[in-house]
Amino acid sequence: MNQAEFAKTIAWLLRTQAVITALAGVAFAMIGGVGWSMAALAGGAIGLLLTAVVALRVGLASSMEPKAMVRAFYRAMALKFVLAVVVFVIVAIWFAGYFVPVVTGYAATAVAYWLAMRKMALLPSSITDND
Amino acid sequence: MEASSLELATLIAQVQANTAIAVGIIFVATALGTAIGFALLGGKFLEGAARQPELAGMLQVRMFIIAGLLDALSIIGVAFAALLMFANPLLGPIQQAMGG
Repeated sequence: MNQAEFAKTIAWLLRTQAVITALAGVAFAMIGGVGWSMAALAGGAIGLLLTAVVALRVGLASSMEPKAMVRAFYRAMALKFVLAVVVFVIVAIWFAGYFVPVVTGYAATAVAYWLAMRKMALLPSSITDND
Repeated sequence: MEASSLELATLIAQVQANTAIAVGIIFVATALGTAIGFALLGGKFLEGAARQPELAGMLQVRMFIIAGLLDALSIIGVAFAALLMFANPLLGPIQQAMGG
């Protein structure tokens, strides 16, 4: 049940991030051409990759006890930071001229988290149901 | 009005030194902010799970989403720090002046 809810939320999150990335790609194509569009798509792809990796690591621990969940969560977040540093260093070295669209594409994927939070706040909570 | 090579070298050194300080501040601020945020998040999750263990799964989903928002800004900071370290755009005008 917990794993199913987690998987459903992650699937929605990844889908929304993909849509936002595509929109960012189209917007940057209109502003700066194909190069900027590809850079924005690359930024969005970084966001998608990091979300997927962390979700996989956290999701595997969703049926464990809370202590193990928190441990898995912190490990996944540490991995996310290391991956983010590596990927953005590569981007800074190889795509320095397209850095703004890359970062904007990545930042756009963070909007999906905010939308997910709003979506979850609007849904009827099981806490309320229990009361 | 052409700057001498020594003046340009001094200017580049100043920009690089200030950039190094800025990168350090960015890393410290992102690490500190994220550490405090994640510590609060993990602590509250454990508190909630201890009170109502049946809600641990639901709380985990919420923790994941809030963590995504929490570290997005830190990662953007890290991205800018990487840009400043490996392809500093602030050196561009000086390099242009040297070339011209």
